[in-house]
Amino acid sequence: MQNKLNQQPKAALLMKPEELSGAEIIMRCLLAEGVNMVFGYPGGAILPVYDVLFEYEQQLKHILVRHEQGAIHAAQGYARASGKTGVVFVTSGPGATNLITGLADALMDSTPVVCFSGQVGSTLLGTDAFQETDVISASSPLTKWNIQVSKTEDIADAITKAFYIARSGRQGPVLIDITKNAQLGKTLFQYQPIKKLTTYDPVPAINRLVIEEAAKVINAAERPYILCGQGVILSGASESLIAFAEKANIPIACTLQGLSAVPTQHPLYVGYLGMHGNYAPNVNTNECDVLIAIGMRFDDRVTGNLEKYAKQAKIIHIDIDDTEINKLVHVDVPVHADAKEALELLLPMVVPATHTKWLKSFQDLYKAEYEKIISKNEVTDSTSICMGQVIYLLNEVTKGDAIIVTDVGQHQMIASRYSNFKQPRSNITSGGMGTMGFALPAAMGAKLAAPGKQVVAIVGDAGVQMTMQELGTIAQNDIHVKVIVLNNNYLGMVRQLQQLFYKQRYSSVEMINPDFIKIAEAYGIAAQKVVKLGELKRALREMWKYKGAYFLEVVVEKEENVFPTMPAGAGVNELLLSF
Amino acid sequence: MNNDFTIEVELQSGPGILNRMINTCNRRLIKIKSISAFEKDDECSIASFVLHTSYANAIKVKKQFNKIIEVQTVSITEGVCACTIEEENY
Repeated sequence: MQNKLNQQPKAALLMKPEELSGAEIIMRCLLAEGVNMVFGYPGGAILPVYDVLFEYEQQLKHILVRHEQGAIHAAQGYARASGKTGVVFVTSGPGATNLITGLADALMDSTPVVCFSGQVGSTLLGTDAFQETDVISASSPLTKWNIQVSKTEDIADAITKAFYIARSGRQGPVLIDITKNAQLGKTLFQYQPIKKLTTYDPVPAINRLVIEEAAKVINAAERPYILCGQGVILSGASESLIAFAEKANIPIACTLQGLSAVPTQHPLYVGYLGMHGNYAPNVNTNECDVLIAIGMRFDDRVTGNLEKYAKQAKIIHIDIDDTEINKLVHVDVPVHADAKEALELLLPMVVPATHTKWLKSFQDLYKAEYEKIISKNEVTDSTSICMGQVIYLLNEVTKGDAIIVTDVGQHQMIASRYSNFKQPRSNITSGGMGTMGFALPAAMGAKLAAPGKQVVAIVGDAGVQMTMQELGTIAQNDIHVKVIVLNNNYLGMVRQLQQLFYKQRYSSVEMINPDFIKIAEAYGIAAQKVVKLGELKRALREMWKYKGAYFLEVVVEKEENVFPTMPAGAGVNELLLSF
Repeated sequence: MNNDFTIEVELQSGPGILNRMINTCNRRLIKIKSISAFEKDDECSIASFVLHTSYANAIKVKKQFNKIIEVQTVSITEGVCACTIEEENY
């Protein structure tokens, strides 16, 4: 999927001006922007929009969620699975403030979302009117751009600008707050797509000299190493990256959000980076001589202690966002560019190489990790179930073809470590914000964006209860999403940290859970609980084949820890394989 | 070592933009010694900040300001500088 303006407005809407209400202008603009699905929740201040939406239901499918947080996470899942912009409607006051977590999540993870919040009439602004809140100030640090519209004639311009900003450059969330009088008022409307904003330049002009310098450094490298972030997926650069890596035989590791940019079975793919990532890609970060970071932002979960991070390496950093370059790590060759464009320019300049010894060093380190950690997932005769075994058996069923949506915690790290991915955009997770409760609504959005694909949400018992009300949305809209709850009756990751670093003082981490199966069944969703490893494969197959939503609870070992782990203050080469 | 830096921003007039710039400094615990902001004309506003911070932070703030959609140009000078806008523009 192209990063830039992949949803060009439809020419059919460039018709002669018509007098329309603000609410109807919103619908026309959405259609012109290529939107056909909206996630939302109505309320007083957005009633005029919902009234008009009633007439547009054929063209604009509205998914009524159970909570506004569910709406924005669903829109995020939709955007991440499709590459399109997710759209959300909410009302003023609590409707708008319930978006806040999702906005922050979308900003951190560069997800294009356009949210519309209703607002009280402009004469009531600042009067503490019913459900009035200053959502513009509240969302300001959590949006790429936001705007309040209080006049009908300003609506169309705000919307076209919002979509342009959300999906160009480094993508992100945008919020438009529209007062009720602006929704009700009438004005002449003619859709005018935006081609450029005078103060905003989303596509940096590439400096060829910098690319030549990067190629020179790469060609002289003995141990070059690619760190692939989500920027590769967002710019549609997976093929370019693979071609580039294959030409010079450069190993590729992915960040959490970069997962699925490169097929996990690709011979040059060496694993997943970060605190609970694979051993070899972390350790070898401090062994490479040239680090080529593409569309990633040196998050603290990837770098560990910055004082000990890749000090020996020359660093080339390709990123579309200039603020990320030299933010945390000193960069030797800064390439401010779209990943795909930069990689396409680099490809002909890079000379073929083998790097046999360097590539083998990853295999040697993998063996240590395999013996101590990974091999446990292959055990088939245990009674209890460990989380990795679930992912291993799930891989057998999905064959890497499913979209895997994960929540936050131990299950997320395990799923990220062991899931097989074949296609870009098949890994959806909350990375930067680490928002528990993300997976269930995001999976719902992903399934609606990709109805032809199987979407599997992998969630913990705690995270699922943060947005469990969305089972109602799944049931009402017959969304065929598969939900696997890995239940250890704990806030597993917090418990692990308390065990390892807080003298096993388990403070407020035990969960006394409800009967999940009864809850799923109360919504009319097929459900099954598995407690023994021997039953798991059959249950996963049943889930996979079931034509409809499915809820599978897997009771896993109560006190399993995710390894490797990186203690506070440790460097990437000080990852612990056990404790 | 912390020093004074003057950051001068030319931007498209609009609500909430000064707020975004102040937030940029606040969340990084960067001390703002003074702010002056005014509308040059209907289209263009000028905001001038004196920050007391490290050189590295000042450069980061400059980049962050540049990222704000409505911002046209950002210039940075070490020390406290008088506004460079010519008198006739007031």
